[in-house]
Amino acid sequence: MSQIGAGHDSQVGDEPPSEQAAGGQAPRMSEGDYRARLQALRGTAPVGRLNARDIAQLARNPQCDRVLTLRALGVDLADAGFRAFGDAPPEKESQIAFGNGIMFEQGLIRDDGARLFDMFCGAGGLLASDTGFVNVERLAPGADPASQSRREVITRQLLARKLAGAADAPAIIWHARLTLTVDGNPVVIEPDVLSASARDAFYRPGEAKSYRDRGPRTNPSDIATASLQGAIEVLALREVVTSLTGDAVSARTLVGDSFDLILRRRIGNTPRLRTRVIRREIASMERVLGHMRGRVLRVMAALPSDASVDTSAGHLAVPNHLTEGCRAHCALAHRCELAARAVGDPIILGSAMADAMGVVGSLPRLIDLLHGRAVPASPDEMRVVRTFRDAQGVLDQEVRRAG
Amino acid sequence: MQGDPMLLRRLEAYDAQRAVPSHTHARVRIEPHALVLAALALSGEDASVHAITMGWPGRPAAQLLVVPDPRKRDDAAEMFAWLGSSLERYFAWCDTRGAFPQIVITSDAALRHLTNIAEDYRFLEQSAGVCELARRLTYFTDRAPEAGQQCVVVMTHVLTTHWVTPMQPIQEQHLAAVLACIDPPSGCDLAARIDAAEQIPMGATTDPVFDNTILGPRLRTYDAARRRGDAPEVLAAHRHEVEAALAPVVGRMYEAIQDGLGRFVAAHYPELLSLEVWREQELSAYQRFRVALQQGVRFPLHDRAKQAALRLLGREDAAQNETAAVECEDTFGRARSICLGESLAGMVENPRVVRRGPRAVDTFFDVVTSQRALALRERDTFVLTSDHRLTVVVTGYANDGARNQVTLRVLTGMRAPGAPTTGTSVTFVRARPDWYRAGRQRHAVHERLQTMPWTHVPGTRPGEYPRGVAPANPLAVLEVLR
Repeated sequence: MSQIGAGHDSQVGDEPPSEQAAGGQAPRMSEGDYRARLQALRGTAPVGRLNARDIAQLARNPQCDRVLTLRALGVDLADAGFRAFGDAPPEKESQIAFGNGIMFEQGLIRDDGARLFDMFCGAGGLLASDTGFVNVERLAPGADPASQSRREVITRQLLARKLAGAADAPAIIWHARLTLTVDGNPVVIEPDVLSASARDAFYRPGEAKSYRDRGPRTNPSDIATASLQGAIEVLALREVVTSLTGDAVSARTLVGDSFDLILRRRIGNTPRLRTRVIRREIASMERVLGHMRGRVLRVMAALPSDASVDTSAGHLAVPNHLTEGCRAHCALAHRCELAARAVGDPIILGSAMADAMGVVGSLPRLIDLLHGRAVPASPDEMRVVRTFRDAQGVLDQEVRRAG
Repeated sequence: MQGDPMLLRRLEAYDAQRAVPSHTHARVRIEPHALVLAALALSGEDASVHAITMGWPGRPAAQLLVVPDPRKRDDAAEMFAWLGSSLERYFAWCDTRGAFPQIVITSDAALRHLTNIAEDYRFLEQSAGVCELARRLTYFTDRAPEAGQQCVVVMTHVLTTHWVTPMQPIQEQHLAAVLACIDPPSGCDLAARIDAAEQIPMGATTDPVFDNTILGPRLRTYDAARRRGDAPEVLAAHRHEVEAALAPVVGRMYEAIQDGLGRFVAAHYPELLSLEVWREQELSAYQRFRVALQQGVRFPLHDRAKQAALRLLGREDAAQNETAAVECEDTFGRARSICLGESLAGMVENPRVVRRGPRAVDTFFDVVTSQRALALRERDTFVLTSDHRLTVVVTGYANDGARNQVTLRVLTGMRAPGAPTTGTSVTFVRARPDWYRAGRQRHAVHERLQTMPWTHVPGTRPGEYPRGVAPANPLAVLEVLR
């Protein structure tokens, strides 16, 4: 069921519904009961593998309980749409563009990261004397659990060396394997780069993207997505440091609010570094992840005990928050739009219409009110009808005047 | 809450399940020699040109070029050289006829594509041909953000200026979706029609399904054949496969532009009076550009402070003039500005003359309006829409329940046309287009910069100001001041 009349676009920094705002404390549940309830709600949908981009998506529309709940269930959004409605999963990305990205990354790590060192030294992030490049993926290649576990161990050892102030700690770590706890589950986060000069206390995460760096004309949506990914990586790095040192406060000091965005120059495959301060994005992700359990519990409390997201009824029973921006990043946007269109949700005509209509919850109702086929049920509805009628009056008058 | 006629129209479009008309006057004239351009970039390389088709309004595509792999230097050079020579021929044609060039593209995505090419390759010294193409494209991409410009016609903008669709505004960036809403067959499922239209690429890249199933395999085959050094006939055959895949894609984009042009021209919108001025300005801008091109001007990517300030002034001025033109001359635009409280519309009451001195009189009158929220303040000036000679200034306002009463003093036009009489229905807008404002501003900037302040001239910081001698009895000084 879509939230009628609440269609304004969400921005990073928007508050997700807090426990108080949603009308009271979330119900409490033991961890075992919670996991069992999640399993029941998941139904036949398999548990997918979340990554930084999936977690970061939560901040693109922080008020959407449906995406949040599916992420808590570990269900892939496209798969959820397929299971509930039979929707063909959208093609994720062009293999041609993906191949360009792979080629760019391979160029970065060739010759023990020579291009990366040139880039960082040129930007002042590393000193000419800084050395040491470790490709964690190459040390323990493979997708099997043993190799993945080995990469995690190697990463922790490398990070521990830096924490201990070892002089031979590498300046650049490629594809380190970190974990971030999301609603009690460990999610693997693999930043492309961790970099630190000998003078730095600890590493800073970074992402390599094959977008062209066009200064202020670089696609802001791409930058926003990458920044949210960076926020996830910062949180994951802080969590690992906390597990190594036992001190969460010093982890926040050691892992600051900045992250490296590595883009391609306008021509060729030479990298260019943009170090970004992402304090706001980190705060947004902390809020979203901090409220996650409470919101999922509230969703569960409102659902029938036998509801599951692999059925259309169960899927639609979880509240969503459709915005104009959902099309850009959410695999379920099309399904949400279909549902909104079926009930005449004003968001299908844009957030300005949704804001203008206010309490008049549906487009057919407003049309009936304007044509006199229905009677306003409240002074607020009367006000909305009057504004639209006034606009019609002015338009008619100007058309008459123009002849 | 203000009622916005745009939202009202969108509601009407939803009710009628088709696009409905909005603005009544055209802001652009499609030149008969305009270049209709549909270009595709390779996914992931947003400054490449993989396929391009060109033609003129109302005619089938005249030229098509597809290169097999724009990531390869030879193929990219071939494409850019061809495109550069086509543009230069068009520019030369315009020069001989005293016209300015005009291109017609699908949407903002197509404009971004051209801007990427213009910016990325403008300083590519190792390839003169590519550099020259980028410099010529700079004319269009630099002018495009300026309100009232006539050299870049973005089809989605033109259509959505005159038609309001029953879609989210973000969907109106897709040309095929907009066209699907204009005059759909009666009884059709418009939502399904829009969904189907949105599957057709109309921007600057192909969709992932096409890339993964059709284009990608052909590209890989061609690249492998190149690496092996296969015979030219084999490479030509692979090239033909790529062309056969991409030609229909750019072809559909081209046809969509032509469809949009046809609908716009067939609607026969009267032109804004300001359009003639805009066309003169466009011609001047083009002629200045050609001179700059011949002089080898570099068209920098980033402006210095003074140039940036002047260009910002110019853009603000152009935007103000466009807003003023629409409010003055376009019926829907004027209605919208009234509903949003930017313009004042109502009945005249109590015209009066107040004598200030032996030969000085002020003419006042009140306008009573039912506009719910007016965005005006004292000292705001307005112009009468029916006769621009009458300008007034707000001297006061009062609200009496359902009516607002605004008191106006006449600034100009006391004799002709004179203050309106009691009971006259009037509409006042903020301003009419001022085509000389930009020149006055530039002159003012020039005058001001004749004497640079000490903060901007090294070594001219003023010395310490001489301190006065303190009075022996400060209180006595204060006594004197009483």
